[in-house]
Amino acid sequence: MDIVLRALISLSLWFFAAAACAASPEIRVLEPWVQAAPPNAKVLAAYLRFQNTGTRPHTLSAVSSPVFERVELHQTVLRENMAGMQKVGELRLPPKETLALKPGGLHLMLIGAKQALRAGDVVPLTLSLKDGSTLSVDAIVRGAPAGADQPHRDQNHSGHASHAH
Amino acid sequence: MNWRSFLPSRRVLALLIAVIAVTGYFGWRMSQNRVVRAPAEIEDYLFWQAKDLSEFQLLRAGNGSLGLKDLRGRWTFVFFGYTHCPDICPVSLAVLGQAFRLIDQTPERLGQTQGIFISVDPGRDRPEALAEYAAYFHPRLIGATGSVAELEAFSRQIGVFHALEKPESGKAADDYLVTHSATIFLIDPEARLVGKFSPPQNAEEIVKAFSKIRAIHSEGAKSRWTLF
Ligand SMILES: [Cu+2]
Repeated sequence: MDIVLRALISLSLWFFAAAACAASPEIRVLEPWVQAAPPNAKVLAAYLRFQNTGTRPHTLSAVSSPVFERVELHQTVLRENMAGMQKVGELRLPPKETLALKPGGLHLMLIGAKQALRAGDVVPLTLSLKDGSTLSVDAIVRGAPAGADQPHRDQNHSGHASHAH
Repeated sequence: MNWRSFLPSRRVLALLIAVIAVTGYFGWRMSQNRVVRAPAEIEDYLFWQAKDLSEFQLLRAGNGSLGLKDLRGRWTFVFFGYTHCPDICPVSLAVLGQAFRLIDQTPERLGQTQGIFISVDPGRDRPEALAEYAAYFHPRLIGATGSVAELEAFSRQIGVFHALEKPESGKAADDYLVTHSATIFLIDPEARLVGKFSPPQNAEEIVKAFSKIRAIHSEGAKSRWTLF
């Protein structure tokens, strides 16, 4: 009985792990960066692009960083020149599509800075997908582009996938 | 038929008088105000009519107060926000900082210019921290805030509003978001609200418009400034 149970558990774990391993390489993270802010800023924003190269939809469900108390997914809403922010529960990443997080729109809200961050510093981010897999990326702190909607330098800084088992 | 029938009816007469009165009024106003016509390319950045600001009080670092006298004799860019705003505020303030660096290239033409970052979140933004935050983007950016009532009074003069959202359930009382104006405003040396730059902003665009606005301003410096 005990052996059967243990076999079942390890089998289900193996399935889970296999699913997770299969998922992550489909999601690529391009150009992660953090908007530079004054050293006494407690809240910063991170931007990046998600590329789902696979054929299945994925969902980003949580983000964390060791240098911030917590990270939330936010959407800036500009209406009649009024700016507000809304929390977004999760982010759908449809297959064969790229989703851009950029100033004035979707962003990762980095809350409760544990240390002052300056341009050039690195902010490690762990992105958790709903299927249990995670992606680790290093976002570089840098100054704002001259215009909010200006294209960023196109350096293909893709995320390296790691797997949660 | 008597001679009276050649006179216009009372209704027409009344209308005629009304037309003359209205035309006369606007004619009089135009003679009082020298009309400065703005070049089409900067019309979007200007208010239809410059608006006189009245006395106000805000708080800046070092327990100093900021009032109407601090706007007189120089040009002022104003932006409303809060330091717990990571997405819109740093971008607009960085644009302003960049604009100041461009302005500094021609101080003889564009000098006497300051910027004020007004935090509408006085509960979390103390004047000293605010000054440090603003100066990061450019040393001539002043940080200011005030009591809820003072901030509301000044916002009303500029024609904007802001709202502190309620914290989500389960979150700390000081963990909330703020909805605020995303426009950069321009006040002339006579403390009149004259310009506005809506997002997305661009430093070169702002400075180009600013130098045109200043050229018009010096043309009509002695008169009231009305734009048609
Ligand atoms: Cu946000």
